[in-house]
Amino acid sequence: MPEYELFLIKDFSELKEGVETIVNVRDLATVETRQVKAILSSKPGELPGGDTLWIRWQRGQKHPQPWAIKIIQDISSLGEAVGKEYY
Amino acid sequence: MPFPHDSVRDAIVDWEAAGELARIKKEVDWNLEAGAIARRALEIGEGKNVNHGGQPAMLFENIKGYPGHSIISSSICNLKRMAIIFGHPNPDKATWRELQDLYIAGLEHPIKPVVVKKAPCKENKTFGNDCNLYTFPAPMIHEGDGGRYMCTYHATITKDKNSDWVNWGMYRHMIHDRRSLGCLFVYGQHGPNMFYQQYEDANEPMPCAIAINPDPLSAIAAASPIPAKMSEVDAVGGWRKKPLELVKCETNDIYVPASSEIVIEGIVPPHVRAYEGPFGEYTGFRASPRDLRPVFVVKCITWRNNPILSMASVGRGRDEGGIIAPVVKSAFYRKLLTDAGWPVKEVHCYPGVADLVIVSVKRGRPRVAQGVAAAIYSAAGGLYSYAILVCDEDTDVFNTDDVINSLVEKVHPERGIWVYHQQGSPLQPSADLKERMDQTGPQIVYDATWPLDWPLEITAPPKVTFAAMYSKELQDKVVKNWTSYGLK
Repeated sequence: MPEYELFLIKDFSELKEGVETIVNVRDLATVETRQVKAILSSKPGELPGGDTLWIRWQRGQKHPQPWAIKIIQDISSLGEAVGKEYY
Repeated sequence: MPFPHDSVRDAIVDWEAAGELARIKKEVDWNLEAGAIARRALEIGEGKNVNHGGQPAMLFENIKGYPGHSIISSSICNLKRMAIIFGHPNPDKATWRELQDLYIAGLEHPIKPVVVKKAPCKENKTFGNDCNLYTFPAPMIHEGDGGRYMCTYHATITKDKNSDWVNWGMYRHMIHDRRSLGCLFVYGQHGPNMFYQQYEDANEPMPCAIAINPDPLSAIAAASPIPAKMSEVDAVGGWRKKPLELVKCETNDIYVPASSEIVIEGIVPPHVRAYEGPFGEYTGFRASPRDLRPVFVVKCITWRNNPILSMASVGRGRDEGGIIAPVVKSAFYRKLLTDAGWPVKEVHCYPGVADLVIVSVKRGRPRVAQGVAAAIYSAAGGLYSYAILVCDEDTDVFNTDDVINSLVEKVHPERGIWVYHQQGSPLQPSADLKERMDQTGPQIVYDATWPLDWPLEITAPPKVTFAAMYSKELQDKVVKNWTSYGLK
């Protein structure tokens, strides 16, 4: 089962649950962070078909309780999201 | 190999011959395992020579998923391995002071490079959309880092927009995707800030090149606080006592060490930022937060056959920075302060905690501690020297017990501590988050010199040591009869 993680910049209020939202998440298999459209949930049991999402604070500390994520669309890599015109 | 080493491969031969390098043939995962091995080795090695119980440099020759590639880590994590690349005649017995002297000698006798047309770093080339940073086993070094850090021991090379001044620096780079890297560019640094600001003000991309695993002295130069307007590559020539060979990049006018294992060429676009970090740093903490930082877009990658990537699993203890900085920063500050007329005897940045600069001074100059500190803070690399301890000249700055004794017993808690407020380091753990992000964390100076108005003979407490408490005749008698007392 795929696992992802994302970094919070300030706190959990940045994350919207239950609705489509754009987030930057890291696939733990490839270790690449990508911008995706996804649905998040802090209660994994309430997001059927969701993958595991770990939350990290700004300096890498890991929140002990996993969330869930259902990726709707892969948008781009982090670099392409901001600098594609220079590629 | 004859000195100087023209490539890291030459140095590997000598490190291995000296028992200072281990080839790891067991398969190792780039995803945290290589970093964990290097980290543990650094902590249990404690910066000692291998024949004194330390750990070797590691050449990981079997990286999971990357046949034909290898990673070298901990190359300069003890004084002996650094002495070998500086051509010290007796590396096993080299001292910090001797390495400083070799460093200064090269700065004072620079030799310009030569440009070659053919170079080992051009054996393989990709351009534009064919570039793929994932061709190389960029490691995920610490769990919880912001990404795979491909560049932790390298030279990031940039050019001044309006002159021929070229800067080499060692600024970490994290992979965003196969064609871009994040950059920790810190305000005040030559290339990342002074040069980049010019390009950004003109709304132009800044050409840039990253030379990964150049010859070992070039990497040292990149990690050194070379003064403004002085070329790092000339200093390398001075240390080598012969010119360094450079080769021109394919896509810009930057020149890189010809023997580099991997060269990444590209641009840093203006006003483009992406989240970079966090990264476990040389301070021993992962203090600098994930933040929006400039992006390096890759235009070309060239590399040697069977390339050797470098990895610095920095953190607590005597990692690459913990060994290199005590030599290069100390030498730089010793020369800087002496040339400016400060009565300095010795300078030593504490190994493993190189943000602590210890300076011993001759007595007589008023406010000597504050003056020395001001000179250091305003010099290159000053923002990474946020703790300064100034001692009397009879303190051995290379002896930890002597240094701690001065700090605790001679720094007056009210008169002897000064807090400075100038530009701070973004990596400073004691600074709060806003101070780190704004680079406004304060610095501290400890004055461990006896006050000038204390007549030394009467007021300053005498030292209680073998050398100070007993007559010369008695000392000689005790030393001469030592074994006859039944002692070793």
